[in-house]
Amino acid sequence: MVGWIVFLGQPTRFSTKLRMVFVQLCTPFVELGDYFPFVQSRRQLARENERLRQENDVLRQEVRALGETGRENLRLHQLLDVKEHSAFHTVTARVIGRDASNWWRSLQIDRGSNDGLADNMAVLNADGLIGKTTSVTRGQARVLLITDQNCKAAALLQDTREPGVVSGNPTAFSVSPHLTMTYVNRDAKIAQGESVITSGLGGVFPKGILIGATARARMNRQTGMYQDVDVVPAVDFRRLEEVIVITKSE
Amino acid sequence: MNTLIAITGILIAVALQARMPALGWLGGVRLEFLPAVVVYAALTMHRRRAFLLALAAGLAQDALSAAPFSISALAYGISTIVITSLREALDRDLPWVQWSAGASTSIVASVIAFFAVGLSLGNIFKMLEVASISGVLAVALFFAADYARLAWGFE
Repeated sequence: MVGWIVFLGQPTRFSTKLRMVFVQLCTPFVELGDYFPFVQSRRQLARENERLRQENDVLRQEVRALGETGRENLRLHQLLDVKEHSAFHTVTARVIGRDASNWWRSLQIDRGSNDGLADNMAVLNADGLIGKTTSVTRGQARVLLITDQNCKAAALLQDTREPGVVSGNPTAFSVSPHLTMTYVNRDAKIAQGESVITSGLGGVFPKGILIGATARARMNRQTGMYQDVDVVPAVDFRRLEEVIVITKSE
Repeated sequence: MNTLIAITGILIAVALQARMPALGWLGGVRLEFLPAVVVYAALTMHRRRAFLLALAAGLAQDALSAAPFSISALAYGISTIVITSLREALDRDLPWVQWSAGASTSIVASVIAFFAVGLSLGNIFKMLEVASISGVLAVALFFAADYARLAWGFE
């Protein structure tokens, strides 16, 4: 039994297909929640507002990205070959479920490969970075949240330009998810409340997406070679209803 | 309780797990209904059928999670084997037996998950919290299902 289950745990074609079968089987039951009378009015309201919300979210994110472009231009204004900040091709998706387990942090959205989604695409909303896509099926996809310790994003402190890596920090003692930015230069002076943005390294998350704000910085206990910085996420992960998936950045 | 009802129960339980919000007043843990369903099947159904349902429950949970596929199936499968082998020694009508079985199943799932997410003091605290709630849900499921069996004559 253990051998069979270990085999299923490997990312083989068979296990991926089997997973998809179970996702297809379970999704109608997950979506059933939408049809209960007490959520019907909210569903209709969401549908009415969807177009405006999409437009608003994209515009707000672009404004933030333009702010980052301004900073980039300040530093690189003498270089003629600097590229302008890219525009995003986006798909808006509705959150239809959360992680069924207590030990991982993810969301299920109602868009899949039929809508142009693939694995490792950045997911965000107007407030900032949410995570990346994984386990994409035809009609649905799973979003691994940035608060999950398996989701890591190359990041920058926006003012000091100090690089690092942001990932989830597992804790059971708090309702709000925790993020930690690691590998920050040990000599860097980090102000509380400084914005943390994606650096664009790694190729999954485009540059300039807000992740959160710094809270407490401390020297890494194990090595003492770099600082760990607590980051307060910009996104309220408990109230996610719609998200934007960046399918292409030019 | 026939197999069809059990499968429907599993699908409803996993959908509830995926839809219900985390309990802020309990430190943000989510209710897990599947351990209760797995325990109920293990204590009332034929061994092989209970085992297959446990595997299906685990795979359904993993399909709606970022967990490595089949990790919960492993946990629920092991738990079902242990419970069914102890079935003769257990009085399934006793609430503390139901609670213990539900909590143990949840603990097995958590311990196996620790191989993937790592062990910490916070995780142990969370495991005990989730296990306690799963035990209570198992007692509630036994009460509701036994009542339904009496009322509607399910086998």
